[in-house]
Amino acid sequence: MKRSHFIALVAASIAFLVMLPIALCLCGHALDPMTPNPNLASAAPNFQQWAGRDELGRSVLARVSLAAGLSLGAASFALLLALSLAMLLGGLAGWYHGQWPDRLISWVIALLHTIPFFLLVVVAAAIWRPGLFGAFLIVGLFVWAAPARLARAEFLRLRRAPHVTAARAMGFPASTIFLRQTLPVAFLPAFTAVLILTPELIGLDVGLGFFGLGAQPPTPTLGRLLYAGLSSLNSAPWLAVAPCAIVIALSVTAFGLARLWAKSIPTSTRA
Amino acid sequence: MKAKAVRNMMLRHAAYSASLLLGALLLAQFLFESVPGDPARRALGPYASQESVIRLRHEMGLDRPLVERLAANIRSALRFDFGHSIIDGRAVAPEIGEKFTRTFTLGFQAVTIAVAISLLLLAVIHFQPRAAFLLQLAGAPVILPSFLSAVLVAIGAALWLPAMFGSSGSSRVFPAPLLPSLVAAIYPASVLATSLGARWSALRSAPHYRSARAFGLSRIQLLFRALLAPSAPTVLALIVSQLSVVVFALLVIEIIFSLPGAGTLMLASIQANDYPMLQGVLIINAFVFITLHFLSESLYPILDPRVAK
Repeated sequence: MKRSHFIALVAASIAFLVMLPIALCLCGHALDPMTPNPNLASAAPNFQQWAGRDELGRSVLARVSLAAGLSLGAASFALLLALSLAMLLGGLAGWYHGQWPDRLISWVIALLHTIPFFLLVVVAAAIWRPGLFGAFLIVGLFVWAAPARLARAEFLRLRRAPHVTAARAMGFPASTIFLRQTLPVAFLPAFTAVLILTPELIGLDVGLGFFGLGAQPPTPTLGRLLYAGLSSLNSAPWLAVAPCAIVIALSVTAFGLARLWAKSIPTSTRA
Repeated sequence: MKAKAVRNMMLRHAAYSASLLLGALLLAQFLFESVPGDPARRALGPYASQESVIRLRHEMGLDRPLVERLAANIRSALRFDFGHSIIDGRAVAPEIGEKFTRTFTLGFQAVTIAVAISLLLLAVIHFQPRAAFLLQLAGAPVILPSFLSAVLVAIGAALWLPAMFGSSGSSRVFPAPLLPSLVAAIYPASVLATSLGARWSALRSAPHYRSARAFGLSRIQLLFRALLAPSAPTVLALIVSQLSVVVFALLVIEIIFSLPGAGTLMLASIQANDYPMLQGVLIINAFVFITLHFLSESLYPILDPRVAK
């Protein structure tokens, strides 16, 4: 992959994970997502309100925009947390292969891998009753196991890579080799593995919404809007269309970005 | 020599699984120690009398020191005794056993359907390579959240196929109602088809496949001996990992279809802050999945003889 393409990919990922949620939240706020308007309850879409109004007469477009911003923002927050944990702990485990840090971290990875992830998140959320971002903090604390496994394998392989041996022969300290020779190479697969989880995390919000956990009303999230829309599919079908469309759009974008990141991994270092 | 090596490996796996189980118990204990405020008061609500709160605190062991409580919990977990539900005083273990048996039956049925569908699709593509575009189509649900396809189809089915989804027949455990398990099978079928498709296309360029073709094996022999047999460990690992995805998508699907199962149990216990029940759910599921992983790892040496060496 050309250097300029790679820079464009990095920019697109930052735009998707950081700037898009902020922009969506600001748009949603500007369009007034909270004021009920009983006279226009469940109004069908028209030229003023492109996506119609919900059962309290609030603008669906504004709510969907705010919800998409919040859900995507929470998901990317959890993903970045998981990515840092995965790089740090997976890296340590791979670096100290066979010694006690590796044994301990691999054991924790195996534990988190065997206990069903959704159940763990639901039970933890039922105990702490966090808000939207608190719930995704929990998600971030539990979801790092799979990318950490990849990062560990990557570090394990890189310990014997020629450029690392060369750096070691040139007398660089271990910390420099860890940070400059192995971390950037191991980062790509782990980031790809994390990015591909984005749709799953947006979907997790739907699951949490079913159990009354996560964000509480009147804060809209995609999960909540989707649930509300689908449960009134007969009387007001437009309520489901906008959240569905945006979940699909965000998922496909995340998947496309992950595909591009997977392609950006240099073939010489690909397993 | 080889049998001994396999036995040693099994023993090591068993010890590792036991340590994971202990880890799950500790994790559950940590989670439930961190309940904000007084768990007994939170569970019983602000209007409960002080005596009943004190009685519940005693019953949950909250008036004893942490180490003693932990030891008592591990001992009672070994006896499969997780205390009593706060909602109605029923014993937790049999209740969870009954509800999760339903959900796991649904889950196994869904995963079986998913395996059947994906293998059928891949076999069709094997015999008719022009159908390979079907694999691209089958991969679509993987892009979407695993809940979304299930929830969309479930609600569509509930709206337009009321006769099929009626919960009247749902009191049976087996065979579980077909529509919910079909709905839950969409995502794992897609995952299985894409991962196995990728594995098979890699196998097709492997030396053993080319020599098998050169020896003139028929397409059906190629399918079973050169593709299916070498990918059996992958299939097994995918089945186990998809089962946990399916079971927890089913928690939501059961609520949509209003089936009496683990989903409704979880919903009620979350709403009532029923901590013994939630703790039991977490530990019993950890136990089930650690056992499943152990069993699948024990099957590896049979499916892949290289592991046993």
